[in-house]
Amino acid sequence: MATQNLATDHAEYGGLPRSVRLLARLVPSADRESLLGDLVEDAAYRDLRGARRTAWLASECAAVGAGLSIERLRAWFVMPPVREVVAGLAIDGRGVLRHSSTGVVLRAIVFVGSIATLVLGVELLVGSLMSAAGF
Amino acid sequence: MARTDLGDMEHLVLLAILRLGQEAYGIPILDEVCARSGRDVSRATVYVALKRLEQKGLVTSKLGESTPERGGRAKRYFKLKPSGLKALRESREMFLSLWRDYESVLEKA
Repeated sequence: MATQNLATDHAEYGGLPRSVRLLARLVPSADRESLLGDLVEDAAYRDLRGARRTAWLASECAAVGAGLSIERLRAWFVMPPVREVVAGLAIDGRGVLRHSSTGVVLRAIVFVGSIATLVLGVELLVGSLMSAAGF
Repeated sequence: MARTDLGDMEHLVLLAILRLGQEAYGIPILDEVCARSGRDVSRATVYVALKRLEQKGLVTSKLGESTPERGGRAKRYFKLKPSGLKALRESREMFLSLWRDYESVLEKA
């Protein structure tokens, strides 16, 4: 019984609803855990529970995720975020290696590789256009 | 060396980090900015400003301890770099200089 109560408490204070976990994907990997920790701590401080807690966490997570994504997009046109890419690959890659089969790992490598190629292509294109325009 | 231009929110966030010292992580920074500016600043605005300050090389961050009320997640502590302090000092000087020149103009307006 005590174990069950402890598990419930943990879910209430530290656990995250599925919707929030999905929205958290908007946040760059390097910042995700610390941001979610801040949100969980703040929700506990505000004494939010149940549906209100879920709605509050989801709205805050979406707002911060959107803000950081726009900022990251803006930064791509200024300087390649190498540190973020490496940190993100390390964090997400560690998770994939821990919990997944070889097939999933291969698909993840192909996916990451194609995204990296696309980003490189866009950066080269934007860089060329900006050089041609005299910037 | 070129002067680092600070946005309004970046300025507020840098001052909050300076004031909080060792306790500068997301929640206290947001509270400090809201309390000191008297504005209802959103969390997203502060986090974006923090990210931008890191990219400008004015602050540094490191992961700290995790606590049960955070679901075992670590806090990210922010600290001013010497370049951040320098940017704050330059910004202060610029505003003081501006106000010295415009104080009388404002009084007459």
